[in-house]
Amino acid sequence: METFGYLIQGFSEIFTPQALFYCLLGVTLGNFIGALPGLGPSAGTAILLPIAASMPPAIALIMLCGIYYGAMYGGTITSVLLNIPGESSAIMSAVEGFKLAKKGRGGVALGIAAIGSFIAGTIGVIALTFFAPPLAEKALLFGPAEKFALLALAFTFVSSFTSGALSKSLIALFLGLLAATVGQDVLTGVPRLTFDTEFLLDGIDFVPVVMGFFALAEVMNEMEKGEATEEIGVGALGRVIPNAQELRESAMPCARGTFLGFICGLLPGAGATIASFLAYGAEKRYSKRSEEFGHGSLDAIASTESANNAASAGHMIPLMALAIPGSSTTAILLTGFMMFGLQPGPLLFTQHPDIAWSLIASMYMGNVMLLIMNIVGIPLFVWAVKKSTPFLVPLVVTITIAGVFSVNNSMRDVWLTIACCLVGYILTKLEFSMVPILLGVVLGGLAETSFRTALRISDGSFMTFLDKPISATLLFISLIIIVAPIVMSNIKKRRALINP
Amino acid sequence: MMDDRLSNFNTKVSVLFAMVLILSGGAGAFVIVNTLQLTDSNNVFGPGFYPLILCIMLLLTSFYLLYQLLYGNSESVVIKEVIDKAAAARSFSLLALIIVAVLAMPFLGFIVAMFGFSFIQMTFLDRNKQPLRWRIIYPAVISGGIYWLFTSLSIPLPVPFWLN
Repeated sequence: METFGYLIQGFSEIFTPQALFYCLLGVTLGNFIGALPGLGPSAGTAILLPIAASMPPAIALIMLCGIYYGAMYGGTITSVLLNIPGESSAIMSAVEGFKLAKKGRGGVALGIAAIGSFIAGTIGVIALTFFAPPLAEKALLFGPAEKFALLALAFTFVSSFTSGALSKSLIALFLGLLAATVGQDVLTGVPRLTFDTEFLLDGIDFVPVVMGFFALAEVMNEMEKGEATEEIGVGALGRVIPNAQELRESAMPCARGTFLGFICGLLPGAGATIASFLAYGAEKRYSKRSEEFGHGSLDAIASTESANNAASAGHMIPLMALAIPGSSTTAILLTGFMMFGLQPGPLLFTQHPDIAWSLIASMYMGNVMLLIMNIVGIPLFVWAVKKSTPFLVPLVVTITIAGVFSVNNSMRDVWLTIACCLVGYILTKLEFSMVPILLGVVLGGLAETSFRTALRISDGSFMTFLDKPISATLLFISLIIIVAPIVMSNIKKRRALINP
Repeated sequence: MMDDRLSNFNTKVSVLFAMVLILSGGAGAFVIVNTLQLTDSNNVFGPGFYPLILCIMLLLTSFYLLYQLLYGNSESVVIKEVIDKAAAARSFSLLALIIVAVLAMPFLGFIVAMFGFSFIQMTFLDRNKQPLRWRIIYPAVISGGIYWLFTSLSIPLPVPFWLN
């Protein structure tokens, strides 16, 4: 099994003080950011992108990914003890966990959550280890037509699964794709949609977009909360290590949560939040102790926390094998890869196996670190969150401006970020989803190049997308995803008219 | 029936924005057709072709959104959350403050501009106002600390032009 050989190679590369330090730093920051209400993993990874740019690629990516999966652990702490979900994927944990904390079982809830997260996260990484490389190998056979069809499928998946109406998500997607075309055309060098200004000639780079949409716009949202925060009631922590019976009872909910979460992770657009809600619903039906739901259920914690961690690991498979991010944070991770000139996908495993495998190995290590941290360090995280919440806005704004400026050493990027922040804030208020726009901006260039190269090869015949079986199948699935909901709702309406 | 729908503020905003989208999609298509080559010398697609397709798709989806708002299943597309003007005013004051800080940056440098930003934000735009010493110490620590962090990673940040 050459996979094992590569994995061992990866482990040998991360057992250096530097790599272990940045892995620990990433997961600690992630845990903290996940616990902080008002700052999510997307904002956390976004503001650290420019700092990461000054590090060696493997180290930087280990740190950024650590923030991503660390945040899934952290969200639970404030949910259970303070009844504030630090993360949208931890909402269900707040519903059940805070009631447990009131009964003095907050510690056990966090212990079960940490263990469930660890098991789900590790199973997810094992799946990543064995599924991503063969999938990437298949993708190596893809020509431009297939690549375009695959991107089209990813776009439709994200647009239809993300929150909000399909028409609004599609508008958001096309806005993002159009923004990606601004600037010099890659194939001919002609300036496009620049309105004859020098400001737009270099195009709309993704770092300012990411920072504007996710760091600054999130701070603007945070400002909306007007009243002073009340003194937060802290639930009792109590014993953290679960006993044998609690562990036995949580095994099945954890397994079910892991399975559901992993499937959601594979589908672009589904993601950790949907996974945790689905897992909660499924557990309510299948749990032997369903009467406890709504009054503080340990099964619910085990299942939802496993689900969101499995989903975050699952998201890494399409990202690393096909370069298709399924969520805003993975899209930001993709920009992290691209910042170093690395293209995730088939070429990553063949051209940079050291980076790919040390990243995978670091995820095993990171999950172990997080397990220990979340069993020993909970009081420390609660203290840090309570202390730092009032200072969040100045900190995020200062890091963002410093970071954006540093990318090209220019004020132009800072202004572009502020413009993106304004656009992002208004679009969020109008209830447009940000994920399709970000995906459009990040993947738009690749989509256009594949589209035009495919047409150039076929001398302009669109049949090239339908002649190739893989691309035809992918496009057919995309079409079904778009059309099926519309047809279904029409059928429902007809039925309602016939049998009122 | 249509008048009923339009009486709601959120619906009005939604319809207005759908129209803005249609206008910008149309304007984009117009600009592309007039300034960019749609086909190149070999009669294959030129630089304007792909953005034009996107503009047409944007137009189609925006028209569909407008249709849904006016005649179709508007509950799924209209803005649900009540727009709170006081809350929005706070957010926009923050944005204005950021813009002022960035405008001042070439004259004052990164440290002073961001110190000023943080101090004013914590004094006037913070829901839990901190004691004065924290409103001075904390901005000083973050603006100075981040400047030190970036320059120690040999990433330069703006300094006042008269120090250059």
